[in-house]
Amino acid sequence: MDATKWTELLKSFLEQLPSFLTFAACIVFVIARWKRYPRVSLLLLIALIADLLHQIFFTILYNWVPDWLLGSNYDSTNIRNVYTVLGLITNTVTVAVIVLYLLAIFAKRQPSESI
Amino acid sequence: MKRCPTCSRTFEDTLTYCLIDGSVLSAPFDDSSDNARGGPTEILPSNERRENAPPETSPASTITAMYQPAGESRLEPRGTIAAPQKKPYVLVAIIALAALFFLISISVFVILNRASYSYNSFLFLRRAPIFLIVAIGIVVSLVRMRQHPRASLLTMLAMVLLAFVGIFFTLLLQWLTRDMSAAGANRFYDVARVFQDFIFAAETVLFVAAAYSDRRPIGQLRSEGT
Repeated sequence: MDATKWTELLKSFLEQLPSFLTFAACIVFVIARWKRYPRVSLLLLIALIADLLHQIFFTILYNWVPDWLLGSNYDSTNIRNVYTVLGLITNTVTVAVIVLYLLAIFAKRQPSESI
Repeated sequence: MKRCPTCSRTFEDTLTYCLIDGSVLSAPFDDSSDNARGGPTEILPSNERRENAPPETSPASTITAMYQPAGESRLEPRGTIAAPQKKPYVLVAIIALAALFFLISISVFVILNRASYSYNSFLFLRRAPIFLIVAIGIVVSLVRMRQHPRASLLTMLAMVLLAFVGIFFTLLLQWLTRDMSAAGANRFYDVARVFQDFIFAAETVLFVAAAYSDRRPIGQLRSEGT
């Protein structure tokens, strides 16, 4: 990759700085609460790490895909289809992460726990 | 010892209310003294009660202390009416659903006023899994609302934010930039991406807060034998 691509990738990561900082703060918070709520904290930690990795991986992928498409002989329909499939994969992984969050929120709760 | 003014039964000092009828028990007294056998009850200042309280003994006529959290009676004391419990969660949930409905209405309006149906339909197709999980999340939150109101409310708010991001980046962003130059639109998209990231951060915080709300620590659950 040339310097321009690195700059673009860095810019993409900088745009996501608020969520990266939030992930870091949330991971620290979850670890601090581990002793009191071990099951919830474990599920949350898995979800947060998965979310973080998902964000890093797809940022790099979306930075690389345009170059790959320019190098190929795809027409506009093919390019649109590639982005549709890629978008579906990205969002399906997002859904998997959200399911983990929902499990952490609602699993192993007892009705008497409502305050 | 303490005596119930209603049924005259005696209880241990650790209890506040009568286990039979819920009346507030009298001030502690020593049942071996003359006062306990019919004399006037001596009212002690609250800070002296614990110091002057007799050692815990359990005579046969005394009901043994059971678990009774401080300040709570098993029965409502006579002559008092329980205040209705306020439930702001239902109101906020209705507002959240109204906001979602509003967003969907705007989206339908934008779709109907645009010529490029096919491009928008592809954008919606990419986001379809997100819209599906938003619908599932809202249904789960509504089902659990009565049992875990705070957690359900926070989850519902996170889901509405997720739906907002989906609709905003599928339709509204294009609609807002339709009259801009390419350079202006690119700058607008950059700002929008940062805005989107702040919303993602808020969602994460809402999910983490929801996971811990309405829960009791594991140590407390163990001590209660659950």
